[in-house]
Amino acid sequence: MRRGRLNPMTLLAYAVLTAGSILMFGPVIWIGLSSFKDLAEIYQSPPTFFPKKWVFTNYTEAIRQFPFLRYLWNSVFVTVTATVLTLLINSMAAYALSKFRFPGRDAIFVLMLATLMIPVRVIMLPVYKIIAWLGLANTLAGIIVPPSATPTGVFILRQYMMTIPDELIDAAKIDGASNVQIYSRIILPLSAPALAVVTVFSVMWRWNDFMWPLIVINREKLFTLQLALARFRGELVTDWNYVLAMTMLSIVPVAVVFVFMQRYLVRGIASTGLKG
Amino acid sequence: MRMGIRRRTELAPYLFLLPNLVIFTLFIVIPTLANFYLGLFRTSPSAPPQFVGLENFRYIFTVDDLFKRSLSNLASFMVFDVMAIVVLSVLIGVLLNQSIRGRGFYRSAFFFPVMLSPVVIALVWGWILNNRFGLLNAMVSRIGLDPQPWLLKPDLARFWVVAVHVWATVGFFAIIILAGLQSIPASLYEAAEVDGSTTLQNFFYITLPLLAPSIMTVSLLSMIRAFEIFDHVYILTGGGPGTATMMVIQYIYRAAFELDQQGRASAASLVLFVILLVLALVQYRIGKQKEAL
Repeated sequence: MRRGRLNPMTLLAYAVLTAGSILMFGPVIWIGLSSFKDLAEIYQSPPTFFPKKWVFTNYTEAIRQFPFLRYLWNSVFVTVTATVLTLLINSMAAYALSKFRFPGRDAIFVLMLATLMIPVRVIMLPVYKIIAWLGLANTLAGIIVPPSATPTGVFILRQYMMTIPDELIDAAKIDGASNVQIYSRIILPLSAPALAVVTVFSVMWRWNDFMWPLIVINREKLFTLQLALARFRGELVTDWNYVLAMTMLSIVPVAVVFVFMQRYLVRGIASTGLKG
Repeated sequence: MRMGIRRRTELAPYLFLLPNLVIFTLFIVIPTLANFYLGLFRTSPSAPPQFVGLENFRYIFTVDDLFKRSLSNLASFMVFDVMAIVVLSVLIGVLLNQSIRGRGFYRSAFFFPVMLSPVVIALVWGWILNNRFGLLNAMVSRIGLDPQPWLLKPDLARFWVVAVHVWATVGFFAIIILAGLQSIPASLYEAAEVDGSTTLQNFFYITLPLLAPSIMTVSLLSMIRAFEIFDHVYILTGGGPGTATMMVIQYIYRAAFELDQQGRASAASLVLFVILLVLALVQYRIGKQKEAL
């Protein structure tokens, strides 16, 4: 396209999109800049946009004075374990639902689809009661296990596995492959794109989740990053320079996903319109 | 022969399903059923469960003003949230679909907040809207207007709760619209151009009608998301000032975990559950219609 064709509509589009981009990035950029200000400058009215004096100790002190590393570890542990568990049980279920014919298959699938629309938070109280009954209240396992069997995940994986030709499986069977081998050597590798979508969704959701950890955990030792950040906001007297630094650190993994995995997320949203 | 193969593979699918089904049953199916039980019975550690029928519903609808308040808060939140998301996601989707320079950058920009956690979003906007140290009041004073306590006046707080949630989620829905736009064949626009159609005519007579299914998806999904609203609001305003921004999930959370009114919490959950069921049925119906067309 030639650059000479700048009609008013295109100019308007540029103007609106640029304003929108500033609105989208601006707030986080301001907080990012503020995390390099000293406490006096943060509590200055009217506020500054750029730091007058760049203070890098906010970050080192935040890590030293708060159990930041513990919260970080809890978040990483929950995110990684939960995602591995979700991938494993959902891909196994999707394999059964897509590549076998057996009594009850359709009923199970329909039941799973029916619960797609029930947000977990509507049933938070009974789920918590079961957690407590199992002795998982106030444990990281209590955060990890209950939401791991996601109907959405099963759905995405099943739809993808349906497209894997049955001839491949038949050929493997003739060669004497067991079901476990078919699952691990054929189905899983060929489902990589769908697994990537489920992984990215799971990582984002678990890392960012607030409400479920809030219900399950009340021991500070087991706080995830999100819980810790929310707690600090609630407290009246706080060293906000450290909280802002921690906020920015908590965005880092998300930013990495944002830069490298964005297309999987976009593909997942565009193809299913679902989240989590 | 056939029997032999069937018998050999009979158990395998059930074993593959087992781990998922156990967790699914334990944490989705049973709780969904238990909700009815908890809503209809009075449970206490000392006495056996006692059937109280609709007592809990009577309480939340006639005695406790807060539940009705949270329902009406949620209703008005939902109306503005969904309207804003539908209009803005179509606008952003159409703009992002233009062949302009830096499209990748613009797409990333609108998608950026989708990846942030509700806690981070509420922290960031809490600072922006802070009446003494916030960026917004600094900008407002700069152009000669009066600074406002944005989160401390009921109507302003209601507005900002919607605005922040739209800011955080509109990129997600713009992607659904964008996918819908990309499935509209370019030949339609070419034919229209031959006939001398203007850009606006194109939008109203080609784009909008063909985008209807995507817009429907966006409306329903954003509605369901609005129903679940808790995290952003809980951290940004705590449901306040007063109870101006307390939504139903926060009511349930409060009744269940702060006040230990489990029957009332479950009754409120059931009300929400029924509303969601109706929404799901509507979506199912529309899906059916789409298939029939």
